[in-house]
Amino acid sequence: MLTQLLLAQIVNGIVVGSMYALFASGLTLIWGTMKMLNFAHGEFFMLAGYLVYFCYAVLGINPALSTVIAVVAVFLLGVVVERTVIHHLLSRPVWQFTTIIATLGTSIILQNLALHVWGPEFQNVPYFVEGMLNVFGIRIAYQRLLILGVSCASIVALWFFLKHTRLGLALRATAQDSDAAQLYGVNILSIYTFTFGLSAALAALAAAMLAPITAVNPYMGLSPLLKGFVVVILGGLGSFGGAIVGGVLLGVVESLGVLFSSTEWSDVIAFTFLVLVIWVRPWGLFGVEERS
Amino acid sequence: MPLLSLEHISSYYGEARALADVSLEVEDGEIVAVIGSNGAGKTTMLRTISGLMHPRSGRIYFQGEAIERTRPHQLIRRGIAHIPEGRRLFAQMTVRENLLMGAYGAQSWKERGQLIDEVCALFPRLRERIGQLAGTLSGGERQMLATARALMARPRLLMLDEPSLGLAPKIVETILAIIRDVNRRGVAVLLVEQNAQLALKTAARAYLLESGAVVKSGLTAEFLADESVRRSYLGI
Repeated sequence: MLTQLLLAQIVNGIVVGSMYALFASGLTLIWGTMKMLNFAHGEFFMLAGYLVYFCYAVLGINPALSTVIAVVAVFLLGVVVERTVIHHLLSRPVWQFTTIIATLGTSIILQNLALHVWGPEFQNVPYFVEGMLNVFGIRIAYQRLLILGVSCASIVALWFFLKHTRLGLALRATAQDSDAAQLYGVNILSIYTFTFGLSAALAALAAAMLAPITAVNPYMGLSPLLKGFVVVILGGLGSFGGAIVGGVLLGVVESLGVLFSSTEWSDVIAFTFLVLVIWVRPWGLFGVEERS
Repeated sequence: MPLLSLEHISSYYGEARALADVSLEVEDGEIVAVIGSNGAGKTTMLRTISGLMHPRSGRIYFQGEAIERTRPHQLIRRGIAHIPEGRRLFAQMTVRENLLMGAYGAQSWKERGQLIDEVCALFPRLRERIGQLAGTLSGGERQMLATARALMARPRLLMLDEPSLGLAPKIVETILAIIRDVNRRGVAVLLVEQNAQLALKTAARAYLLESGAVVKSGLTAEFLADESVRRSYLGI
């Protein structure tokens, strides 16, 4: 009985963790290429949640198409936000601070806009697929398996894109040495814009998949944002592999943690885990130790 | 018409002037050396030509067109390849990926496979290391890769910043031999070096920079005969 419970919690942790991984890989992409933190990442997540709610739950569009609509729309929104709010700051002095304020401002504006337009109520989104799977006495909702499948597929797709396409190559080159990338023909300003859009799209995909489990509301981006930062620091800032492993690890640690305490403690567990890890490895699990 | 000409270029870091009224020319197909001590403005000059910095005043012409406001990613397509100080390889990428980045500029991307074969023929060592991360290469191999990456772009003008830095004399010889070979195929070379002897041996003409200004220019033979150059820069 206990092993079954344990196993069930681990599976749950992997499912939730795979979403953390997706969300955090967006943050880490932006950090890696642009060297900035995006505090509006959670609001891209939230807006995608509402888009799925309206497309799927209200208009009855099928869930796959609803997800595509949300991801594409939020990608475009990311591009617009980068072009209008971030772009001109990046070539100015102290952009490290101005971009923090600018994304924080964007976050507050989008959150309050959502609150004003849609109200503070929680909107429920039905499961994309009904039913439960029974294996070894563990019951797993198909929705959760779907989440796991989608996140694995998109992580593989993202890896393939970064590793084997010309644009992916340019993106990695920009992340590693933006001057050298420019010298070899990469328009780094376009790369920044694209990276921001891609990052927003990843948050959107995570939101679309999680919407049926968590319900949609204006503040739904807050907790993933904090968790996302935990994950990228855990995995090592800017490390794509680190974000994936960090995400899954955090998901598992959290869901095992609630076995021994209550759900309200999950944030405490997450952050305690983070503090312990960076105490031992300040550069994160997969980051590179910086030498002066 | 010279391939590259700088006319009265002044560049600044904030309020500090790094280049003062620098004029310089590189003709099609020649090797030009720029020598000078550390901090004389050699690196700044190359960064200004390749668009990483924009000059505060003066003009830069490449093949007759003004380029002093052009962004760096456009210059590689026009034929200027800059191997920056410290090589600046993409350390977390493989040798092959670094080479591919050299061909990123639109024209040569289609021929990338053939180009990789070409540069590996020049540097057989790179073919042996093709799947290895650039960060794991030895100093000599890094300079080879940096040079090969630049050649992938099929440049008209190759600019090298301190290619000899930190390398054993034998490896420096190999690399200079390849640069001369590339030059014989019609690529002009602008060679920036602190090692004046090496630079003067390789180039036909030279410029001497001191505190951001050109204080002497002419044939390398004149430099080698000049008493003060010999004393200050050649240690003879």
